[in-house]
Amino acid sequence: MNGFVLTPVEYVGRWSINRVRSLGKAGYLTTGALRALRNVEIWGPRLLTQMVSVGVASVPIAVFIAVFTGIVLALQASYTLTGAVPMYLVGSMVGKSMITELGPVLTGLALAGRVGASTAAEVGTMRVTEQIDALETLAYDPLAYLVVPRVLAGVLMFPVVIVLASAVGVLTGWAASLTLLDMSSAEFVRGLRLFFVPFDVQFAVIKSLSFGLIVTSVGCFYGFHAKGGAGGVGVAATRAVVVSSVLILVLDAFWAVVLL
Amino acid sequence: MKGRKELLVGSVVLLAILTAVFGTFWLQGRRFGSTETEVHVLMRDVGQLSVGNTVTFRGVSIGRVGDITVEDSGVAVRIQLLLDGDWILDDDAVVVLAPASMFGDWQAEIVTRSRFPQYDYSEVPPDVELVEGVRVLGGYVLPDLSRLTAVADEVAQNVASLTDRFDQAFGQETADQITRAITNMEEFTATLRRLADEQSVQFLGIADDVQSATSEIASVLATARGSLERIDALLASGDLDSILVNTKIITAELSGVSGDISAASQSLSGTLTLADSTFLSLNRITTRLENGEGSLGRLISDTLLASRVERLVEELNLLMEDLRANPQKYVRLSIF
Repeated sequence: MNGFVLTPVEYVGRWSINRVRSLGKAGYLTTGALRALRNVEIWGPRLLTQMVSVGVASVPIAVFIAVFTGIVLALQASYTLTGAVPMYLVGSMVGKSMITELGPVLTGLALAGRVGASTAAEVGTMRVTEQIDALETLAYDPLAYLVVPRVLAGVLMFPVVIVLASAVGVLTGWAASLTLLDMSSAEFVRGLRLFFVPFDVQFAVIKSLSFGLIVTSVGCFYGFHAKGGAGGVGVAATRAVVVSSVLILVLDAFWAVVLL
Repeated sequence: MKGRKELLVGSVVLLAILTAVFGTFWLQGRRFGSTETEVHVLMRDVGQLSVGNTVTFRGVSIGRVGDITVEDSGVAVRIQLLLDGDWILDDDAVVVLAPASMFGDWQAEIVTRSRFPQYDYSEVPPDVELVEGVRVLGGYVLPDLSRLTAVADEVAQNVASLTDRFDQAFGQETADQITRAITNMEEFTATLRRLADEQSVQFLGIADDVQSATSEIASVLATARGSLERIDALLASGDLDSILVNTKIITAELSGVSGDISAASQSLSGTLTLADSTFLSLNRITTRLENGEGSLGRLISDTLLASRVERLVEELNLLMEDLRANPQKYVRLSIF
């Protein structure tokens, strides 16, 4: 048995070991990060920078996505409903879809690409360039310095970005209904209010918090365990984006099952 | 640089919070800065009404459903209505819950009982928990579209079943039977028509008889009417009164006569008794006479004696004649 050819059983065994090892690393990282929350003097000064990087800097791309999502939603709803049901239901579909589903998920996926990749790349670069080792040498807690401010910024800023994106999506859907669908504002607002309940906003915020936690944590995890040189950083960034996106969809389904 | 970042983050966070809060209020239909009137409704169930649904009055949206909770007793549901502005509802105001459209949205409409008197409104129990300043109304829930659809589906199934049975029943054989039935019916109709003609002739005769009987009855009635008129006149003239008075007197006299007769009857009874004893005595005498007992009996039974008596009588007659003729021969009258 040479080292290049694995039997199926060996492959399954190696895959299982790697998964368990990854879970162990994730547990170690999570435990360390929670322990690092005590070191406010380390992560506190960096939190604002991360909030700008993760949140404020993400607003444009989130709004850009929301603008077109709102327009497309209005047009799709109109195309689906024409001749069958009253057009004011376009407002219901745009509002409900943007607030509870498309706003959080599309924005989350977009931020998974932007924030997840950048986080994995930054942390991974520090790992492969041994800057993290240097921090440890200087008795600096790397988790408090690198992971905690990013994860906290993600948890705090994802809801902010997603709320703004959802609002923009509704507004652009409204504008599209007025300009492209020959609807009146009264019709759109009637449909918008028809099935709205305050829990819709709470539902979106809860999902956003979990998305922010997942995207930044996964980015930090893969960056923290990046190996090799630039290639390793690239692999870490790619894996972070893919896993974050998958987990966002899984969480979306999870919250729908649990909360709706 | 740090201050700029803080301003940036703060602005974005505040903007998001304001968007979420005011957006929620606006989508709920709340009007900022205006007063609200809270009204509670107690219902047996609420259909598909949900929090945030519209409250209407005469078709105009005036508020929204604020909350829906099941009462502690479990027998009713309390609905909180939040009306925009100050509202004073009629005394007989009730709430009707109904679908607002065909797409699942419901509304609570404030109406008066007199508008829909046919509804079985749920009444507010006297021991209901009251909130100060909040009026509690009763109401009625209209059946939702799904219930109506279920009923329509049931009707459709019944119609389909009926159609199937009709198809099964209405075959060629049934058609022939119906044709025969129609033919029989035509024959029956012709027979009935003939019978009706015959009966009409008889009926005409009966009608004539009835007419003559009616005429007789009319004449009898006329006679009766005349009699009644005479009686009426008699009654009016007062003769009847005198007749009745006379009759009364006669009756009294008859009563007296009856009394006399009764007394006479009693006397007659005594007389008859006396006569009976007399006859018995007479019978005894006769018997003794026939037996020749006594002077008279001997006189009757003894012919010799009878002839002697007869001769005596004759001699007496002669004596009497002689006495009449010659009284001084037998009677001497002197005063001194």
